[in-house]
Amino acid sequence: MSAAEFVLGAAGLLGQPTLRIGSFAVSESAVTATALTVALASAAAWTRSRLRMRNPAGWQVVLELAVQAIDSTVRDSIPKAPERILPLVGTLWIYILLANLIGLIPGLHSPTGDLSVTGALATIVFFAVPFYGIWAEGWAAYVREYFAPMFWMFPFHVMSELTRTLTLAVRLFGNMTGMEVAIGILLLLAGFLVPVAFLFLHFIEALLQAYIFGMLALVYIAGGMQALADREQRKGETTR
Amino acid sequence: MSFDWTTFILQVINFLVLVWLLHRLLFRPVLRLVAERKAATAKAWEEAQRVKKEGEDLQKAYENRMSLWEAEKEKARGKLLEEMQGERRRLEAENDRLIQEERERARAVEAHRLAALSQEAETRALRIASQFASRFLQDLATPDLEVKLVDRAIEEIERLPPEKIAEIRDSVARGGVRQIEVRTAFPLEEGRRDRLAHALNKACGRELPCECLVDPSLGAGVRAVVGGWMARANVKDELLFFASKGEA
Repeated sequence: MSAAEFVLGAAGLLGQPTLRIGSFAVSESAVTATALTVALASAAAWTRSRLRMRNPAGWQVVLELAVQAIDSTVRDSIPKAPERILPLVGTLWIYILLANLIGLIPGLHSPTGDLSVTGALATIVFFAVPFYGIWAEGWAAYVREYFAPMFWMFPFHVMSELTRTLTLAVRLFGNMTGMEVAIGILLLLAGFLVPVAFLFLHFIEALLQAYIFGMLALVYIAGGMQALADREQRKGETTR
Repeated sequence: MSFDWTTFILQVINFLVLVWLLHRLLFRPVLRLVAERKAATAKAWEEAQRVKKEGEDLQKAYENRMSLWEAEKEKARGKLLEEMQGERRRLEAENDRLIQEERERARAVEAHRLAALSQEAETRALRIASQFASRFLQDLATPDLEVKLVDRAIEEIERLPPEKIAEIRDSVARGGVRQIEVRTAFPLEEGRRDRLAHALNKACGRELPCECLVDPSLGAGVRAVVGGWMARANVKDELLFFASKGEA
């Protein structure tokens, strides 16, 4: 195996290894993502059974602070029923953060280093925008936004939706893959313990990318409710 | 870099299931717990505020009660002070009155004592004077003195006022007087005895026999008894009269 093959293989760029169960084959990232889903759901179930109203444990305090921070961020951005948006955005943040951090475990790849995974997440966001927009504003108001300020802006709006979904998927995939490639090259050139500092950088990158993805999703969904937000603002000005 | 539709579809399903599970198992319970805790905290805060307000009200009521109590205490103290001053004035007045009474009593006792002393001194002086006079007069009690005294008695009887004479006569008439008793320290001359008898009979308003007796205890002079009336002009009776004045 050449050095380049080693680095690209470590980054998963030579194709994800697959598991075959009979004629059904799944990629490693799908298995890892599913395992992460199961682990997260199990942890959530375990957490729920141990939540205490009085004298909460340290981990519960941290968890409550994190959930409240997410809730607060969503409430600040979403004009209507933010509690319905919270599960999607909160899950995106938590899931992407943990998926990014899995790459720090030797022998495992971040599922977010697979374009199929990030594409799936971006696609969910893509459909979530009109879903919540129509739910909040109604069909007519939501569709009217695509023809504003001029009717011929419609294709540009659609193109904007598609490209931002694509960038959402590619940004996360590119950053995580790039980080893994960089660490692989360093490992190849400098030796076994040198990339440790880059692992810390990977941690920062994981946090940052999770935040960016979730925040962009939140902004897109909030943008889908723009007409409602404008109405609320006009109502507020009239009241004042 | 490759795109796998199986992974894509699995990931979509995985993520949507995870969204649903985390909503059920994490976000909703945690936010509900936080909300309940906030509500409990707010309730506890309200309860604390209520208790604090109750405490403040109680403190205010207590302070009001204290101020009222202080005012009442001051009032009671003033009243007590006033009563004490009144009682003091009353006691002082009572004391002054008692002192005055005691002083008056002492003054009266002292006056009485002085009067008694004066009386006693006077009596004693009289007694001494009487003793002295009787001793002195015993030396002077001579027939000549008796003559003078009898003459003087005759003059006195003759000069008695009409009321006295009427009284004597009435006494003689009611008493059934039969004679006049005349005592002298020395035997009287006949002429003087007649003159005396005549003056006495004239005073009695009738002729009564006159019994003349000699009584040396008289010292000098005469004592005439007509019923309940007596004419005295002798040393003994004078001295007795003098002494009796001192006794009185």
